[in-house]
Amino acid sequence: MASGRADSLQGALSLLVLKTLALGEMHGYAITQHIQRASQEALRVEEGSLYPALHRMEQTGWIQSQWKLTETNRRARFYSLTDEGRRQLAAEEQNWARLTSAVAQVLAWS
Amino acid sequence: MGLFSKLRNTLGGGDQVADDVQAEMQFHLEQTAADLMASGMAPAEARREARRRFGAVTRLQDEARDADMIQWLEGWVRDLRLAARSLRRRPGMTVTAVASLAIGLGATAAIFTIVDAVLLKPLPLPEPERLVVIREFRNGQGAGGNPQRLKDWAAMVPAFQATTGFYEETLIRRGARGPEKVSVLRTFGQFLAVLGVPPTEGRPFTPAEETQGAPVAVLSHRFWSTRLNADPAILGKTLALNSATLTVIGVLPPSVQYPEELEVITPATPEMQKTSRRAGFLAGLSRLKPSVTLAEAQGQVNTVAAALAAQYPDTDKNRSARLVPFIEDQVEDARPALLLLLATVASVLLIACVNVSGLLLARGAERNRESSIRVSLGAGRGSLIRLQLAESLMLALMGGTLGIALALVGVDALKALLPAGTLHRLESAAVDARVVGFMAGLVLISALVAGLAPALRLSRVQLSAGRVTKTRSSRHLRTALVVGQVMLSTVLVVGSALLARSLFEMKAAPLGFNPQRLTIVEIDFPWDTEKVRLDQFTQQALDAFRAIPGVSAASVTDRLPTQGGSQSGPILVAGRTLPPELAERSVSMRGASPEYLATIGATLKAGQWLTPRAPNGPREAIVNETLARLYFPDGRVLGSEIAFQRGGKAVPYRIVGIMGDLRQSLTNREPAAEAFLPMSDVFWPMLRFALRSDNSNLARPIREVVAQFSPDTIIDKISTMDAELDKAASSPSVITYLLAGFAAVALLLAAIGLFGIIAGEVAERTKEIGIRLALGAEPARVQRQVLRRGLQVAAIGLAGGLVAALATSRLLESMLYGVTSRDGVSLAATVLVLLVVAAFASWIPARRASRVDPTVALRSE
Repeated sequence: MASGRADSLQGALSLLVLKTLALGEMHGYAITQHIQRASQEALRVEEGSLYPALHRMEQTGWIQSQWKLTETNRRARFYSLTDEGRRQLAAEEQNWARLTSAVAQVLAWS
Repeated sequence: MGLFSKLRNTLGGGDQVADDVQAEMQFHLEQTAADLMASGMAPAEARREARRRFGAVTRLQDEARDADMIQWLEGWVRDLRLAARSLRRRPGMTVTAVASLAIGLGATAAIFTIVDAVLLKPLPLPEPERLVVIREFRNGQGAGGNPQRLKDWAAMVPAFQATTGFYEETLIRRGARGPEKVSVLRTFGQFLAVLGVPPTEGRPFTPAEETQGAPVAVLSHRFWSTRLNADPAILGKTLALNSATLTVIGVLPPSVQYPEELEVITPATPEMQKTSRRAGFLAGLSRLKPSVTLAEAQGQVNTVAAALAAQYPDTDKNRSARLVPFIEDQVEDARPALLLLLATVASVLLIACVNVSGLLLARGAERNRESSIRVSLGAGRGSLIRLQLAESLMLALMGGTLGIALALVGVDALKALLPAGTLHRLESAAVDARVVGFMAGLVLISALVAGLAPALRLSRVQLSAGRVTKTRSSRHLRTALVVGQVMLSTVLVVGSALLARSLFEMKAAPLGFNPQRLTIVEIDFPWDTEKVRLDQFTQQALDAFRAIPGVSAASVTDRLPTQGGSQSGPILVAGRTLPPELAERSVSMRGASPEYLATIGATLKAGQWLTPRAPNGPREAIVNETLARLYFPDGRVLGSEIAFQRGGKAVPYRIVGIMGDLRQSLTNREPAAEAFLPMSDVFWPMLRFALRSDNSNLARPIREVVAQFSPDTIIDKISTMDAELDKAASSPSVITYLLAGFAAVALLLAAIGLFGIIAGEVAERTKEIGIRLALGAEPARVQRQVLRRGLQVAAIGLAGGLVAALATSRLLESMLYGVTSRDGVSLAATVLVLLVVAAFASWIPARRASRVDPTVALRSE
């Protein structure tokens, strides 16, 4: 997975976004930047996937948004986790751990 | 996002949403460009690169604009297209579902069309809600209105803007084509002002003409256009009716056709205007002042009635009047039957919807798999439900379109079936914009009802698994739906069984006479015909009829049995004071020629038939058993004297015979006390001849002989008693057949539903059944098991249905004859029919189960 797309992984995008927002309030651009940096450029989030995902997650109630001013005094939409989002994050993290360990075990079989 | 916020977005400016998205995207683009510039890219190139990376911006906006109403509708269109494609893939299911819905919707639309025309549509008169009928009662019994009292009401009840009373009579006009009958409305008070419609040609009556009874006439549009060839110079011409000559002063607009057979309106003659307070023969109608409520008006009428009772104790005591909205008065008789039919077809529609629900649920497994894929592709639950509703909407739309076609045929059939003249305004019933609008609403509701259960189930689809097993809850839900169907159809079957029993009872109940080989001739003379002339005509006619070959007996009466009563009033018994309930009870006073009762085959229980009365001979009467039983508990009837009040004077009659009761009405079981007097003692110008003859085709000889001795006389009807009885029974028969037909459809739909779940279960358990058969289970046993399961489901529905039927069938009580709403035979018949149908519906899958080939079954999956 040299340069994977985060959204090509089924279900992974929302996990990444939730985890990122767990750090604190952030706008969409910052989210892409963080995922890119944190994965050391291995994962890139397509804007065309990120914003629909944010939109859906907001409708589901995992995150909420607010228009605010950035440090550079620009208006931007800031997203943050809701309580439900935090619970969802915990659940998805667990799922992910189970999945990866299962995959690892399969790969380790020889 | 909920529908509400969608609406708000649309109404409150969907632009807000678009702007938000636009701004967020813009921010993102600029940040990207800024970063690129920071890493040394030229500004222009950085912006281009940023936009390139942001390739999907339009798609993004689309997605976010889901909040937009238009987008929402577009989603529906897309879903409908998807639904259509999915339905095309399952023609069997689609045809079954559409046919069920078409029958349900078509039947409902057809009955609604009739109900709308008869009960709901406003009358074509200005502000018809202000019209009230004045119903009068004396000692609690219905009584006719009186000109003097109506005049008092018009003056004393402040709520009445205009008040009228009227009676109808048939007069004879000597036209170019020989004599013809004209239906004339004789009015008191302000008839035209009450209707609120001035003549389109000419002028209305002046107040003086109305109060003095001037010989002027206003014509109905129909009479003017059909009978007078729409004569443009009609105003001022005269109309000769019997002995009266009326000057035409106006023609009403075509919309006014009340009463329905109305042809000529004229103020009642000066003598009639002076009628004493004692008489009662008018129908009263009033127009309330605007913004006066019915209750207020009724209160005022009560006050005035009390005042009049004090002022005229002789005539106005114990009288009361009830105001009834005009439209209600017009449809009172038809309402229960029509509402019953409407409730029935609505039940059929509900059962059809549930059937479609079941069909949609049956494909649950397949649909679940598809849904899971959709969900994992990012579809929200809302869109899944929407797709499901789109499918049922598609089915309902197709069903509705077909249903309208069915309704078009059905309304014509109903109009032909329902006996003419029994339903007010039936003629005007047609599938119009109102009906189509109603249908559109019904289609939406049906789509919701049919799609609800499947849609709700979808909302519980397991997201994690790509493959979903058919859940237990799905089967429970479908079983519950089928139980509901069986319940509803049980109620309908009970209802039609009751009506059928009642119809049978009605036809089987003794008539009290023998209708076979009885020819009847009806001749109506005007009310102002002299008694001498009537008697003379009667004698000539009887002689002439007896001379017709094949006629063995001829007789005359004032009203034939089963056709209601004529004159009635309280009687006195000589030498005894009657208890109050009898003293005020009405007795039917009938006139008959001496041989009438023997001719129609009435039974003589004691004494003798009437004999021709000698001049100045004793007045003799025959009474029926009901009268004898009620008024002579001691049994000493023969030879006793009873007296009728006539013209304020008691006229005594000696009872010479007791006869068996004749049915006064086919539909009313209440026995009426009746006394027969010689026809010569009775004034009743509507003559009814009864002829006993082996030849039922007497119309021609009868017309010929009447034309010989009285060429001007118009014969109103020549028929046979059998045909008249059929006609009298046709209204309840038609309703019974309709209800039975709808119940059968309901039962069929419920059977399909039952068949559906049992067959589904058998299909699911094919493997298990195969194993059991392979292990040596007897096929007959397997078959029994499946059959038992089907009967179990049906039995639960049946039990519930019987309880519901017992609770609701009391509403039928007023339409039943000779059976109670808890009739055991009807309930037993229903249980039998339901079980047989259920057994058949589950027998087909049961047989299939017992024929499962173990090897094939085990290899499947």
